[in-house]
Amino acid sequence: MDWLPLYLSMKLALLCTVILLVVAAPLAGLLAYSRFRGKSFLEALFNLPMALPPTVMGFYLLIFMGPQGAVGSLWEQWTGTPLVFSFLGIVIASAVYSLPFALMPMKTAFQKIDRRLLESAYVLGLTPVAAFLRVVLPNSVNGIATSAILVFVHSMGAFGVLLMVGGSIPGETRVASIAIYEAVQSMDYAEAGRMSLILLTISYAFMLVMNRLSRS
Amino acid sequence: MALDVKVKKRRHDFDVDVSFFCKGGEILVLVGPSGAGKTTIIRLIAGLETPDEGRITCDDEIWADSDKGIHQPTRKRRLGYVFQDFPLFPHLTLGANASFSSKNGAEVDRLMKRFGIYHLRNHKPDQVSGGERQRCAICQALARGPRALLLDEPFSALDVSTRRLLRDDIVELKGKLGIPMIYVTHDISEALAIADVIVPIVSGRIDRSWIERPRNEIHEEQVLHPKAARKHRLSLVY
Repeated sequence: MDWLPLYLSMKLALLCTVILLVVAAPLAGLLAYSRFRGKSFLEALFNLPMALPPTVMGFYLLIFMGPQGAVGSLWEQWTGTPLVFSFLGIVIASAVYSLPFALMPMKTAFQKIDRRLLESAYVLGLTPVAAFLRVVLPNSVNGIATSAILVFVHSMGAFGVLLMVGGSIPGETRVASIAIYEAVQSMDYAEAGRMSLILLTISYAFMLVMNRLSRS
Repeated sequence: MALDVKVKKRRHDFDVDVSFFCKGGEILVLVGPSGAGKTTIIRLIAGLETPDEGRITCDDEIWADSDKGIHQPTRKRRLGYVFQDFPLFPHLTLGANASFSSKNGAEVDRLMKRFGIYHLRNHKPDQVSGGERQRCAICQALARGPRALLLDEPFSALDVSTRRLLRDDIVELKGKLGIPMIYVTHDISEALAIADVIVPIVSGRIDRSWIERPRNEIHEEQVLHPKAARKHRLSLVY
């Protein structure tokens, strides 16, 4: 069996999870605790990847990240290498695509925290940022873990977006979901079955952990 | 030290409009029925809410002044606030809770010993009783050397004997600390037991018939005897 696509999938999912935990935590905090003009528009924008067909999402990302796109052209000027059809490109695409799965559980967890704990932290001299780091985050471990699992599993299974942005370059962008699709296209059902079984087992294990977390 | 409070705040049901003065080493009790606006007043003092009008000063430091547009953030007021139902940080031990805002470990240990919870310093809040949690909340509030202490029905969820013990602790502390202490309760007998000054609050305003009556002029018997209670218009409070 070709283990490279599985390795790439795991690496992609792990990187996406780390990036999104760092990026989504302050965003979720902002959405949970702040009131500002345009908040509902911003929240809808963050959650858009959940509603959009992956190919549509992938198409727009391809335009933005391509050599003529706002992000892609800047990147190319800076590094001399294209962002699309690269591993970094699919990491960014996957992170954008999985953003709502990181945001929603964290936002819910933050909102569940007793408001008086935050007030108590302010009384004890903490700034809002310090209160977020010292009080909100440690008391939202389950929500953060749920976010991490959802992002990991979602990134492992991403297909349409990755195919649009990264294509299928072996060792670079050919992740397990794309390898499975190509194996089926070439009638190699045994290879597709083996990889699918591994993905199924990993996803099921993570879902079990998530169920445990939500019960506690 | 002294706390000078003069605030107005519009609420959906009535306006809070009070002014009072609390000297250092004195316990001023805001007493009144539930929903009278006592907690709103204490939250205004803490800076957790902003007054629509008014001025709050602690000694020569202005905490809030609507005319000058001053609203010092809660974290800068350096006060102690003991909440109604002990919201200690659940992820921390009692020791870590008590020393949350203090770098003086020796002082925290001394306070925990003073309040009889030092042996529980490695326990989490859900592993101890309500009384022990509230003792820890008091240690937490005192550990940072507050300029004023606010207590919002701190013992209402405790049994009678624990409440009495902790109440005695607070009375004992006031002379040692020498800071203004504002205590909120709906229980008139508790107010009588603890107060140097009683400020009855009814629908957000001070019931002037009682204002700043020294403690020795208000005896518990007066509360217990309906005639005396009527004389002092206690029915307004209850």
